Amino acid sequence: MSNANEHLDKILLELRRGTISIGVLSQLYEPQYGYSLVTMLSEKGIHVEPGTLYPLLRRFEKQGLLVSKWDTNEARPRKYYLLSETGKEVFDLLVVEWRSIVASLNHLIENKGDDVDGDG
Amino acid sequence: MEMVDRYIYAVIQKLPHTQRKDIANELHGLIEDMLEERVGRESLKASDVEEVLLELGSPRKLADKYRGAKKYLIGPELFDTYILILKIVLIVVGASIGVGFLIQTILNPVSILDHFIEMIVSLVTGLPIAFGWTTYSFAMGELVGIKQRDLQKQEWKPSDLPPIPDEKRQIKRGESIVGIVIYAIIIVFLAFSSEYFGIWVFHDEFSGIVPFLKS
Repeated sequence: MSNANEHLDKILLELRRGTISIGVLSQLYEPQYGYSLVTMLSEKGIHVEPGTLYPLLRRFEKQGLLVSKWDTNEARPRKYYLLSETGKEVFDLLVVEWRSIVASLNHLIENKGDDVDGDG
Repeated sequence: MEMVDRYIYAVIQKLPHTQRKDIANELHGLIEDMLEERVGRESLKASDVEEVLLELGSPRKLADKYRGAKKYLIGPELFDTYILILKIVLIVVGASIGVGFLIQTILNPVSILDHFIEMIVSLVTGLPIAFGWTTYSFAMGELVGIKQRDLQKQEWKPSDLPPIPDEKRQIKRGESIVGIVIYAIIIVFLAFSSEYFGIWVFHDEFSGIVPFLKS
């Protein structure tokens, strides 16, 4: 059984890596700083390590999907990230893709025995 | 909080110069946020700091994530230094060959054309050699660095963090540059102008050199 769990962990890790991007982009219609995003996502059931999220935010910014601004008015300076116009566009397209992946996979999972039955 | 500074220093030291300050500021904010959530308004204990740093993981892994997992002949850790050294080496080699040409021309102005051709040949062969060896040395350095990283497989602990070097004790860039320039000039001189190291013979006027080194 522990063997199965090990395999599960590995596959889940890969699966999460891709979905985190969508999760992060979805929350950035309003400006957020890194740690507020970590808390926000974990409240909604998506657990992200800060060590993964911070480099990811920076990469999105470099790609032009996010824009950032330092807020130095608060007690501690924070870097806020927000979706750029390109970012919004990319996110909308991603959502469409995501829905179609979910639909296809659901179809596959629910009909997993059909082919065999059909042939027999 | 000294541990935090050491941690951040260990991370940004492995990143390109241009991003260091921004990432350092952001990480400072993050670690303070994480500490605050952990202990609230109570006083901070050293163990809290350690736990937060452990949660963030080893500085090398974090730096790797910031850089993205790319493969390099010479990685960003070394690249700034590589470009600096390459510039110095090429300039010095080029300049030394030029100076060699000038000296030869002054000593023997009649065969200036020969000297000129010799200079061009030296430049065409010398500069790529200098470029090649510099690049090769750095690529080897990168390779050894990667091997060492793979050897350090055991769990990372915050107490492994090296201290931030003292500003005054850090070797100054200028000093290193001067050193490299001097060594490079000496090497180029030995390589291309060994015939001038010797006893200069004068009979009324300059009539030749008995060299120390035979090339």
